[in-house]
Amino acid sequence: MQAFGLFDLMGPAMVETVLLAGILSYLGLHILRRQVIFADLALAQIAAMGATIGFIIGMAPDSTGVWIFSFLFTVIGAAIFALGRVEDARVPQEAVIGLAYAVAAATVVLLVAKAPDGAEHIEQMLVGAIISIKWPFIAVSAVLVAATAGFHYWKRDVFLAISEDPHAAARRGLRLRLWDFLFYLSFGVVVAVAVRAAGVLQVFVLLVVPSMAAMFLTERFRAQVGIAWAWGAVVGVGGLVLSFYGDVPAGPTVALTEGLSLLLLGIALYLVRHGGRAVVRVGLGAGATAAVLLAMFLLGRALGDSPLAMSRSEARQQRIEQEVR
Amino acid sequence: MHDLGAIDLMAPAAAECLVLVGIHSYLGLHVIRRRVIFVDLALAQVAALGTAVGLLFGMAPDSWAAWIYSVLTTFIGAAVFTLTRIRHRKIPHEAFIGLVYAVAAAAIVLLVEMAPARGADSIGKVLTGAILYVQWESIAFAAIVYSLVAAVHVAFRKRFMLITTDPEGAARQGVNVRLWDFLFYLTFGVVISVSVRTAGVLLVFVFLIAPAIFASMITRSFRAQLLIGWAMGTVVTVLGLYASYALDVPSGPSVVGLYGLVLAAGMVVLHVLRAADRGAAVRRVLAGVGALAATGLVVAGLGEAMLGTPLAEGQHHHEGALAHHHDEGEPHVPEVHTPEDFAALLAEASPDEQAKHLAEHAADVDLLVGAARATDDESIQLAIATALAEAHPREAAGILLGILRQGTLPFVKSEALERFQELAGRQFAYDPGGDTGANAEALSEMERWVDSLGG
Repeated sequence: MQAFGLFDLMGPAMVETVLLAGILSYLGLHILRRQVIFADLALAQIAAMGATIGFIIGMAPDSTGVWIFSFLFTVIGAAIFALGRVEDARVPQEAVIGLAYAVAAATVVLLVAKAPDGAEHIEQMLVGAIISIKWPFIAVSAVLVAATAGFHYWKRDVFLAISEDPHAAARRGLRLRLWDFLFYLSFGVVVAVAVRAAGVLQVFVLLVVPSMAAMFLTERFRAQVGIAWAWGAVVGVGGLVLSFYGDVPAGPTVALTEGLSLLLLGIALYLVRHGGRAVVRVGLGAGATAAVLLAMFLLGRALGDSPLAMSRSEARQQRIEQEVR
Repeated sequence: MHDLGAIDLMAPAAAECLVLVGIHSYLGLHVIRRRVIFVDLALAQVAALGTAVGLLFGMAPDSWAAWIYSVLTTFIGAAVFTLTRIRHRKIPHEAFIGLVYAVAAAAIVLLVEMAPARGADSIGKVLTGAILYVQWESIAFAAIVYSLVAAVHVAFRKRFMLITTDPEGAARQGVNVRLWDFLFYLTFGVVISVSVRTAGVLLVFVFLIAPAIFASMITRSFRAQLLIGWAMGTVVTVLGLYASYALDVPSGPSVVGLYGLVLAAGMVVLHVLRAADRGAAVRRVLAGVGALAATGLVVAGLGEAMLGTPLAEGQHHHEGALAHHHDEGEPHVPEVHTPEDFAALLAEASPDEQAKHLAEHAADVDLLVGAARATDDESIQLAIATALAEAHPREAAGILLGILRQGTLPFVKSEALERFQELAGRQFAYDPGGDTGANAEALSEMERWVDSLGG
């Protein structure tokens, strides 16, 4: 048997992760400023729905046609989010966007319900298949990422203005809806590629974690962009390495590593900024976490062999046997 | 023998949904006012995470122990949400909650992979649940738990409403906001840990949010909102379940889809009714609908046009130096001539390769049936039966019956039972944990059903 080294197996995935981390962490900074966290999850899910529809009507799962479908659906979703802003203060826009997410996810499940490998498809939609990515795909995504980044760099002042203070931007005479739509459009281009490579969860995590880390660390936008990219890329590649040596699936491992990195950063910053009392608190928190984990482990051991761990049908059977005796 | 109609088949699911509507519409109104839409999705996912952790210790997903675990993880989640309300100027709390959601979902995928009785199936179930197969005893249990929570909320309704709508004011009045926040999330978590088991993450989320949005659009009064939410939830649920029965599609996602439609329709109607110039509003709506329909047509046409062109083909001619061929179009399949070969091929394949092989040879019924006979691996027989179920229910039922009769693994048998009941559209008193003797009656009843298919 031929053994694969880390880079033989993970090389393309690492390159793609660095690429995606670059653009997604930048877009994440906008998303956080716009306070529409759900929008990215919903758009990622809508992209996945488009891909599923292409797949259902008979396109190969890795064809360009499927990507075009995924992109079209994302654009339509983006247009609806941008144009249909609910002005009703009683219903937060997030609620409507969240609902769009749920409906898109349910649609995917409905569509693949009758496909023979439906469950696999759902899993792949969530966690992607970054490990099996090919170089031509990476080239395509590099071009798209570069195009999006170039556009955003060119119009950086406008994009920042509408994300930070839309009302002030509108007063200055910027066409808010048009730029909102252009923002979501470029977002859609990136998300359609990223979801196919990395899955809904990893895309969401790459959008949110690096930008949050950067916003914790600095206030300056330029520095934030740099930090976010570095954070997303380094932690993402780290997650891939972990998944290689731990022999666990890549997508979820990267998502977990990114989440964990933010937790560690939060604790570190808390310690640095608050000093002595913080150390005690963090110690207590860590102790409590360890105690809870230990308790859960012991409980699991105790319950695992008990009748409580049986499925209902097994439990019913045992009851019947006891009655017979 | 009698055919089971919509009512027999759907009664437990409908009852469960109505029980869900009662408490979730109410909690949803709180969630909307608190503007933490992600919380329920995150808590539901955390509850599912508890079940996945239970898998590691060998707890069956529908066991009591697994439920205890999901309650525990939900409590931890509730504590985390209450304590970590970080007031960063620029980062919304939603971002953290969303992150908990994504991390929990990723962890579930990993855990299911690591658990001894693994299966990509369970991930789909976590998302969409299996409300059609809910048992009356679980409905009764859910009703009791929800009533207890409802009683707590009725007893302290003023407190809960105050900390939801005006936390600063409550703090000024000397109310311990953190404690009550925690109590809110605690009760919320208990409810969700129960409902996720049967309804799945997506359905629970929609049960919370959709009636609450609908009612909030119509009125400001909390009582009226609650009544509207209940009415809307009940009607949509019953219609959605009926549609799923009539169209033969999964019930959970159908209800989700119908909620979305009703909500969209409600928004349009309200927009027209409340507009100063109704004529203009109607024109806007028509233009919007027209634009959507046109886009749909364009997309459909484009799909049609792309089919058969290189754009719709896979990229399998590109070489990749990878051991894993996850989404390659055509893996290298050895030629199979005999059922024995095919059975051997399936035995060596990973689950997704198996699915691919089966999909490829789905048309060759004799080959598949022969392979099911040639192997004595129950899970392969199950996979074959699943692949055949759509086009050749009789053959599939025959294979399933074989598993149910001779099988040794309870979880394969319970899966086979589920498939069989799906095929038959009715329940059988078969017990996957029991031996053939105990199940003799159910087995002969099943056999009679298979025979009744003729052929």
